[in-house]
Amino acid sequence: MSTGLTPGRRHLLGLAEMDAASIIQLLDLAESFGDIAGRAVKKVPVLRGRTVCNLFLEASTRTRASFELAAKRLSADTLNLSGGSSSVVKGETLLDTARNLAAYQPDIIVLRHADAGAPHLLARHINASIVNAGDGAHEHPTQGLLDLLTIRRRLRRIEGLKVAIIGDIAHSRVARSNIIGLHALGAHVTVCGPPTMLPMGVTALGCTATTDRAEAVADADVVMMLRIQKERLSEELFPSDAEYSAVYGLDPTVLKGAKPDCLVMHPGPINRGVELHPDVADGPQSVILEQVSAGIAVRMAVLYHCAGGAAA
Amino acid sequence: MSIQASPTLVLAGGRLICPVTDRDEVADLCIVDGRIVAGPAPEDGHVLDVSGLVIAPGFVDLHCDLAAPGHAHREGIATGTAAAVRGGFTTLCVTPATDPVLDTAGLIADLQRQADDFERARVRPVGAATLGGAGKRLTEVFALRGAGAVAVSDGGHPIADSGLLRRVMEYAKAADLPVWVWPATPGLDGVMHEGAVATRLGLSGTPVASEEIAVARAIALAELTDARVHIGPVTTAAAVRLIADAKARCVPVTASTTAAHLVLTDADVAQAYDANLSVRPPLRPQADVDALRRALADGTLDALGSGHEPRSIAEKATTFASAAPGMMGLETALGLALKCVAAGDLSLTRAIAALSIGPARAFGLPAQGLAPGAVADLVLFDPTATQRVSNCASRARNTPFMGQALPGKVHWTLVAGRVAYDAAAYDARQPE
Repeated sequence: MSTGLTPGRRHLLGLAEMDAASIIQLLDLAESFGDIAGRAVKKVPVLRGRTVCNLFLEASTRTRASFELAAKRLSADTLNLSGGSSSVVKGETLLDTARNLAAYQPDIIVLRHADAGAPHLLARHINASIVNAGDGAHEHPTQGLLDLLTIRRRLRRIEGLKVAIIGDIAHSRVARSNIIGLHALGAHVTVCGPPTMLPMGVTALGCTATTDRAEAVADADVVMMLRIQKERLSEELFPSDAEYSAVYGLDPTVLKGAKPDCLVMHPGPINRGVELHPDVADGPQSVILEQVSAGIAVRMAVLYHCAGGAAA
Repeated sequence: MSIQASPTLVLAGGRLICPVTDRDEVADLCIVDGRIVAGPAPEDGHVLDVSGLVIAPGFVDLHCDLAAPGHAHREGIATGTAAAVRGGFTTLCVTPATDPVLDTAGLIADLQRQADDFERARVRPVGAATLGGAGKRLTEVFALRGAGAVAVSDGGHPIADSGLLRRVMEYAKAADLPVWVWPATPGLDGVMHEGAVATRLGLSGTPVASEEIAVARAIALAELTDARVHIGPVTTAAAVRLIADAKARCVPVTASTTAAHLVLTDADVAQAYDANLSVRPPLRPQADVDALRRALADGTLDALGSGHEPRSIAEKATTFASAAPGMMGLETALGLALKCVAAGDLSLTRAIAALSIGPARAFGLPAQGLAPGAVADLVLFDPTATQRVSNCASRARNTPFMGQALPGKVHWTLVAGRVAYDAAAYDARQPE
């Protein structure tokens, strides 16, 4: 976990700034919060009196809901501000928006922004803990952590696993956080997609890369499918849904190349029939809904940690 | 200073470095009526002791953005020319990509008139190559030249249509003006250098191919039209190779880079997504930086520019991808060049040549250096001193070097023998 650019503040800007030990500590912390969801009263008072501001300047439903629920289960007060970056008052810079927000004296600002590095900018200038809830194509660290938690819950380990990540790696913050987190904990990651979706130098992140779906899936313990964003069609990253699905989608036949108990993951929302065949999405190997519930536990752990709780 | 009133000025005891005459010696330099004269100092002259200082031809910037007219929040002629002389620049060839675009003789003449009023650096506009910079129709190049334009270009907006660029070159050749080509290819542009660093940071990349294609096209069209073509700023080893090859074949091309591109790399962006490092062309990896230094040393690159692109606080108080690209450079160019000298990559004489004579020749400006008869546009600097980047004369503050100590300190800048900058007076007015 980052010791923070603002002295005395704990931030979560990206998994790249964490070592394996702190990632594992956060996962353990999340596990301890995981039980709360099973109780009749799903609330603990650990962040009572603290304020968590969810500043979502890019469209998000799931992540925002997950952070809000996590904060509420910790008894924090929550303040939600959202809208596209364009709805920020014209002429007001991101810094101005954040400074105004900081005047409410939140303890934590959870930021989702369309630009990479936006949380880093806030961490340098704003007196609050900054949690990155997704910044452009850079990182989505809580997604990375919840994916790690989901895998660890099912397979009891991360080290030595073979993980395939298939889709638009170039524009995916989910892919980056997962590559970095999985690599840090000793998994072997292979990213796969058409060359238009594989960014230059991606292997430097700690993975191998291939354009061959079968090669990526072969003997995999986990196959992680990324959402295809249809607006990328206009950028000519792929010619059609149908061709993408045929060459890079995951259907039951392709999945046979993986290990028999291979997990199928997806950060959601799914394009059924494009990157994921419905039989796979709803099949016994799919852990997609477990990812969602792991997300709340992970975000509780992150908020608790950033608010000054147990050291990670 | 009283010397401004004196028609005769003797600069005594300085180290004269003149890339034109290959002179590098400690000697007195005499200026009469704004021109350098040979021979012993007249007895009535005002004598200025400049021992310990290098006296060099004033620096010439080939593509400087003064943000005037139209962008007063960024810079202006007053602050821009003040920054120029503080950095040792005596002539600024300013980009036409202003608002409005410098596409008429009136605008060109007006800009020079305004600059003349400030009596600092000379401003020599580059005329727009196409009307409104829109890349559709030719400007009246002869009229622009008549008003004082020193080259034609659409600045940082490359002309996409190769047929039109060919016509621009053919027409400019008739008017005997060079065409300045910005080395980027529309459609191949991101916010930083494409590579492992951009991939890690999740930022869109500008591949080397963007520059390589544009340079290859400019060279091919220069060969086709025999027009004088200046390419810059180039930032890649690939561009350097193409330019070296073109020069070997006597294609009439010159090329430049910027001081920042000699010192900073794409890896610097990874430190903290500093929006001040968002520049066009983007900062490149170390291998390209090394190639640029070599090319500047061996003359493949003719000129070293300031890359001065002032941006307002608000334009930079945002994320890297949303920030307006650009870095101010007039007041740091010499310091960054001297860093390359200190590293042993560039001789002091070569650095001076690339800042003064090289760019002047590329745009057909006077380039007599310190030879007798030359107009006394001079910079006097202490190469052994260091100066913190602070108290900038520019309106802008968009430099990653703010607060850093850079080698070299300009003490005086003379334009036509007149003191346009006096560090002692400036520092007294602007205490740190």
